[in-house]
Amino acid sequence: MIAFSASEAIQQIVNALSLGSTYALLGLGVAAIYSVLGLINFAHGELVTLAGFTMYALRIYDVPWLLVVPVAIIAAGIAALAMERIAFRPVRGAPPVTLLLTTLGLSIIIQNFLLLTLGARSKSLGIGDWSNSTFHVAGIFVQWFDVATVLTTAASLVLLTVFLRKSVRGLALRAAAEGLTMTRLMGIRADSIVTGAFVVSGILAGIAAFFYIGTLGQVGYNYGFSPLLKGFIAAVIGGLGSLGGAVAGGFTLAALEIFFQVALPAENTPFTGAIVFAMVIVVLLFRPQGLFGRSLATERV
Amino acid sequence: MNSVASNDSPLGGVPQSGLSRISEFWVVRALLGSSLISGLLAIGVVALQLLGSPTLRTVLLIFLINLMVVLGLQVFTGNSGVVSFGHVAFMGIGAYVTALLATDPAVKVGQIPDAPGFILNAHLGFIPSTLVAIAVTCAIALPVGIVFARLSGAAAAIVTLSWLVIVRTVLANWDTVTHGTFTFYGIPAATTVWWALGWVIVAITVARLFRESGLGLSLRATSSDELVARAVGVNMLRARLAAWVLSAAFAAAGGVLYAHFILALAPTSFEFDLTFLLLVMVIVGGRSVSGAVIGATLISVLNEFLRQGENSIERFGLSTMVLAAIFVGTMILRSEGLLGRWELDELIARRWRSARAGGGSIEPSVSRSGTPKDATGDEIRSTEPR
Repeated sequence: MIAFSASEAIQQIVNALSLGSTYALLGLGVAAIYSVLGLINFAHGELVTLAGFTMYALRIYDVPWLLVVPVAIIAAGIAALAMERIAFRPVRGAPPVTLLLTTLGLSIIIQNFLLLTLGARSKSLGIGDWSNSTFHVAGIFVQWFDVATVLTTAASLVLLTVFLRKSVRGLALRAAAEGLTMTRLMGIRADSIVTGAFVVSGILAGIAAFFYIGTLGQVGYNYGFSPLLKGFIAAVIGGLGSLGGAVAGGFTLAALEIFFQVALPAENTPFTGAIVFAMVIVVLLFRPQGLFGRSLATERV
Repeated sequence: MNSVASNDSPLGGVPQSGLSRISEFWVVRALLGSSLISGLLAIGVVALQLLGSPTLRTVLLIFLINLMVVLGLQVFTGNSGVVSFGHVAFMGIGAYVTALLATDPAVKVGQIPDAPGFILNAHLGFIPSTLVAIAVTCAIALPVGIVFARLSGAAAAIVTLSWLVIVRTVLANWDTVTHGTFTFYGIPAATTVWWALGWVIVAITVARLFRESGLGLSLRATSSDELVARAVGVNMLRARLAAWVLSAAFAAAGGVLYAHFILALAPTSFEFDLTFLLLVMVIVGGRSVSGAVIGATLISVLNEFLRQGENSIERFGLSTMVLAAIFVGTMILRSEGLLGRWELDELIARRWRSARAGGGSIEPSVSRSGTPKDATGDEIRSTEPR
């Protein structure tokens, strides 16, 4: 193991926090739908891609970023709503495997539609220098973008918590996560709960898209796969269906990735992802309910 | 497990009920059933091979290779009801192992000079190399399966998907052995359509025998209702693990056939696109062995037409998009797949019986095409939750 100084360690912690924020948002988006419907949405990555392309389309016309970001987030929310209406409502109540395969099919349809219409080449977003600009505190270089990521994620989490605890819709969502049937018996319309879950998930995907696509600086038709996988793993670490667990899972995943990137010799860093996934799988052997979650031993009914 | 398949029902009720039929002469039933579908397949393959153009013969061979892996998926997913995204990884492992062992050392030294000696100097023939490749894949599948067998539904999907990514990462970065992201070339040609057909027929027979065996029956019971199956003494983990390793062996065999046909391997050959295509085949066909064969056939034919169309109008992405749309349509309209849980011979037998019963009040709703209109009318299905 390489010994490194305190400032380097703090540098890496900042990186892990920033990366973890994005993963937490992705995991939360996956968990929001799973907790209500018992459905893992393979098309969640396509929400990220669609938000990315929205940003690209607006940037062509030099729309300022302050406007681009909210529009992209709203676009992802609308896309999630459309997915629910068109593809998932017809199969609601079907066995979990059918639901899962439907979302997978939808993900492939959207990917190939984007390939068909926009081509295989990645589109540059023309992100200016501002995303790389840094400031300097106590011997550490900190990117403004990382600060923005962490702060925005924190703000989103606070807003989401307030929404889930104080509003009727949010309360209904939490109740539905405990038991959809009981919530319906209490007089909440299933459609409104499900719609709410998809909108929340879409908005979270839109925010994550800005940080994820923003870091890459470009977007392509198949850019959704990697964030989807990170979101899935974060949600699984956290115990599928637990919202707080998904956030913790996102930060855990990022911390592990950064740790192995630093700790492994340079020629082995490409294996980081594989090692982290393997660790997650081994952890599941001992805690099938995830690190932070409740029991997954029986499928949600 | 025999308690599940108990022949003398204490209720003494419905004659020839689903469960009692399964327990009788299962080996004979499996062999007869698999020869029916194998025979149909063989007739089609021989006809196309003898009459078709060279292009068509290539398509045919790729179909048989895919079918090999699809049969592996059927053994696991079809019986257990747990979707696996990880089988293409086993296909990749099988392909790379045989490539490393069967390729001429003189060719290997130019590509992977730093590989361990036993790999560098190996120069096995097709058959020994195949057997080693299958054995190595099974040895990897066993510990992985011990972890995966506990997981169902969403968690299983995510974890098997991670497994695919892990194997791909290793294949693409283990430069000293796999030649990294570069193409590994110089694999001796050995796969012929007759080899592939022979292996596929063996795979069909083994898959059907597994389905009808005690292990297969108990695995199918867990997919209908896990809690009930375990309550009557089914060891789910053991049954799932057996299916997992057997299915990995099939996938490895498919990988071997692929390697000795395509002659050059890249890690990108074993990715999500292929995983999706193979899953569509097994899901659209249905969860039975015949369903896998029929699904693979239909989807391969369709895919070939779509791809030719796509290439002629140069609209890339169109074929996969249409394929995915058909897949989603199947999920919405007929989520059990074309054959549902039935084998071709079972459907024919059911139809024959219902025709003899005159109107068929015992076994309702068999449509003119011989497939059940609605599987919910059946006695086995009625043990499912919801």
